[in-house]
Amino acid sequence: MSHRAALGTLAIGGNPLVSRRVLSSVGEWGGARVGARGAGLSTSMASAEELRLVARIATGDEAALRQLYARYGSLVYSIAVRVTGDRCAAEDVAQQVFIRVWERPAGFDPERGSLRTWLATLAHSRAVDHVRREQACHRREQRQLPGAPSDVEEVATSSAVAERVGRAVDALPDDQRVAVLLAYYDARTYREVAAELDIPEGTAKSRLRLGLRRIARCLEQEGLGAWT
Amino acid sequence: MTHEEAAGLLGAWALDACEDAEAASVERHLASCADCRVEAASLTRAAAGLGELAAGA
Repeated sequence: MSHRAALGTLAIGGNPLVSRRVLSSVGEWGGARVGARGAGLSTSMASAEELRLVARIATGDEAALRQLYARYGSLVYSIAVRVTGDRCAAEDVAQQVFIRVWERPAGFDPERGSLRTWLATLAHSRAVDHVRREQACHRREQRQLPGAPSDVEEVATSSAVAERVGRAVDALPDDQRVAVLLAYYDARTYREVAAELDIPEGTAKSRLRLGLRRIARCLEQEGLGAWT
Repeated sequence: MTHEEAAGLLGAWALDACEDAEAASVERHLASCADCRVEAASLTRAAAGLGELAAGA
């Protein structure tokens, strides 16, 4: 389904005409990637500004939605494409994320993290939903086993944040790293992680928790707690 | 879901790696447990950091 078709089915509440026009006007999702790249750290501490942006979106301000897209479109699309492995699906996911923000801006809770974290979280959960739906429809061929860790090591880290996260991931014990990356990038449930790694489910759960905790600690130590 | 069960699932929950019903149980627990909310927020930030890695590719 193209992203325009997706809009037709998804933009049913709120202000569909506006959201369709605004989101279509940015054209290909991939096109926003370059422009949005620079936004990374510069928006890190902007929680008051983020609140204003979300408040403007809540009033139906199209310019605010465009601004949100220009800033975070790249991040959202990148996560979606990495998890779904499919550019078309990623466009749909990205559309869903921004439509969701447009229609339900009150879903943003600044107590729980930055706007950037919220959008990344929405992108991931929508992308995971897509993968699981697809798996449920047609049992696809077994996807590749943990190539993920080496993929990640080869990532050309262009932003400071990604670089620090990359270091945190590299520093994880192997068993935690493999489990975390399988869950995040390959949309595996912890049960699937357990089956795939041939470990008890309880062990999978604790590896995911401990691994994420370590990453969180690294980010906090590097002073990125405020950023996220 | 007990506190221990929910806390044990927080990592999987932050990674969207729970079954839907489990995720819903975790979220019900979060509504009433401040300690778990703090950890959940921290783990969610870490998971979002993994998203930055995807964007940096």
